[in-house]
Amino acid sequence: MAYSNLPIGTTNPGLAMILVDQSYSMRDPFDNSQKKDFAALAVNRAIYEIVLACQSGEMIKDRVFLAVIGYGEDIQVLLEGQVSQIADNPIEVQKMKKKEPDGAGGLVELDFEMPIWIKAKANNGTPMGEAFEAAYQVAEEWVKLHPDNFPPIVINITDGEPNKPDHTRDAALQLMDVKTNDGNLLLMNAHISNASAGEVALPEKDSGLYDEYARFLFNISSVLPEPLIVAAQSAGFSPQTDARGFLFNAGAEKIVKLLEFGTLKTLGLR
Amino acid sequence: MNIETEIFLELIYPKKGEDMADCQDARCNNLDKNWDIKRFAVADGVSSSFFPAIFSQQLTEYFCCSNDPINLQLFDKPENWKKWLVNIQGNWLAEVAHEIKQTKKYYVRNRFYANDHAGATFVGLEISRDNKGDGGYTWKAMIIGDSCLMHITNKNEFQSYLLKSSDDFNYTPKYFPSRYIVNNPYTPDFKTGKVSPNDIFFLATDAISKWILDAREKKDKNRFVKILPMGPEDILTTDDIDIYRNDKESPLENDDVAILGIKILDSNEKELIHE
Repeated sequence: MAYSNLPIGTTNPGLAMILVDQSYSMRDPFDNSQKKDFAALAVNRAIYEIVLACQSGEMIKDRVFLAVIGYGEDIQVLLEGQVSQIADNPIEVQKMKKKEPDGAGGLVELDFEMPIWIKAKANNGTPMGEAFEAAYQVAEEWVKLHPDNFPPIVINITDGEPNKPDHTRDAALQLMDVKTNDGNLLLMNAHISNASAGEVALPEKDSGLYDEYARFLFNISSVLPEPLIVAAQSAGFSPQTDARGFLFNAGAEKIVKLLEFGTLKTLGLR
Repeated sequence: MNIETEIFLELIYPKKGEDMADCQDARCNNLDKNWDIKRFAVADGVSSSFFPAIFSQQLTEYFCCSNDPINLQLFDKPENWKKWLVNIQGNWLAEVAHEIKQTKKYYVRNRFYANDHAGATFVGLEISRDNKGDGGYTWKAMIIGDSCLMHITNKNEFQSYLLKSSDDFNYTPKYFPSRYIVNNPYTPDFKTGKVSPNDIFFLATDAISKWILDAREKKDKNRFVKILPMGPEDILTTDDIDIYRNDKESPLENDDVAILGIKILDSNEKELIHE
């Protein structure tokens, strides 16, 4: 059965890749800051959650190969490597306080060190197709080494239309054609927006999508196989059969939830 | 009658693919201390917990070797087990705090800030003269979780504590926590019994305990004799562990292994043999 080689582990690792739109429009206001700041924060947190999920005692077990690709001014592989290597090499660690339940109904303030791997950035256009091509290179290399493993997961966070739609579609289809013996690569697209209405999460058909760009992203998002439908439900989504890994006009909460679903839940890390 | 104790099997071995430094199991005894009470212990640190190897090591060493009255009188006042544990928790915290000062890993420090803790299952065995009774010897044990004590009497009767069957093992055993936890529901069990010459005891962590119980249930004599004191060439070795882990029918689960095998000897007979 496809998409069944779970849970991932050190002898059966997975690949999780995040693509981040760093085009100029990511400077738009969003969730009390700007889209670029939110995207960077969400990605840093997602990576930290993966690090924690791979922590055993004081060690980080290499259960996941991680990659983050930024696209805007240029195409940049911001991160690429085994999770232990990435865990030990953030670009900085910010000291802060955070409040946690004290177990007796109250809150207690704790020291916390937040690792930062990617910084917010927003310039130029949206070379999404080139980012898909860069992701293809990473995924192709990885599946050669792990032909029987659970297939790669790619999550694309974007706010705008790509520079070259036809090229982008072709590159996305090529990326989705990468496969292991356990199934095809899964591409999920998360469209980040300030729109207060029209949020769509994991739709199974495009008939309710009135925006041409929404239909474009729908068509380059993978249909979620049964194990991912279950994983999405456990992350708080309500997907139907044939749902696609796609968010449109999504707010901060949904984007964070998709990152959790697409990485931790899908790969059986939590 | 006087008895002596002898360790005929002592083995600690990490799971396949890992080094001894990664092993979270621990074992200890106090036979080098010339005390009247003989103590033996094994502990199994929960691998996903926080600094479990330090905790399992400290549990076994404190139980076997600390001359703190609260430790020496543990079986006279079993209700004091929480005070006993608090001492070890203090030792664990001091050693971990030292490690935290040295570490460059923010994710380790974050777990420390969040008051994360280690967990460990534990079996501690004491063999001592029963001064209140008939002057014979008794065994007393404190056990928590799925590390097991097994007792084979000189009449070949077999008992295991706390788990009785290979089906009893699951992935959520009770454990001692290395930090004080409000309303900690995990209470150890205390067991006791008589000791006679030629009795055999095993203290073992979960994977090897399960394997032994499975061998008994299947009446697999070839496996079972590997742990018995038949002769030095027959006793279980780390090479055997590697082989049994790859066994197709009854594989030993790939987990850390700690086992102590203890034989009770009649002192007089032992002297005769040595003469």
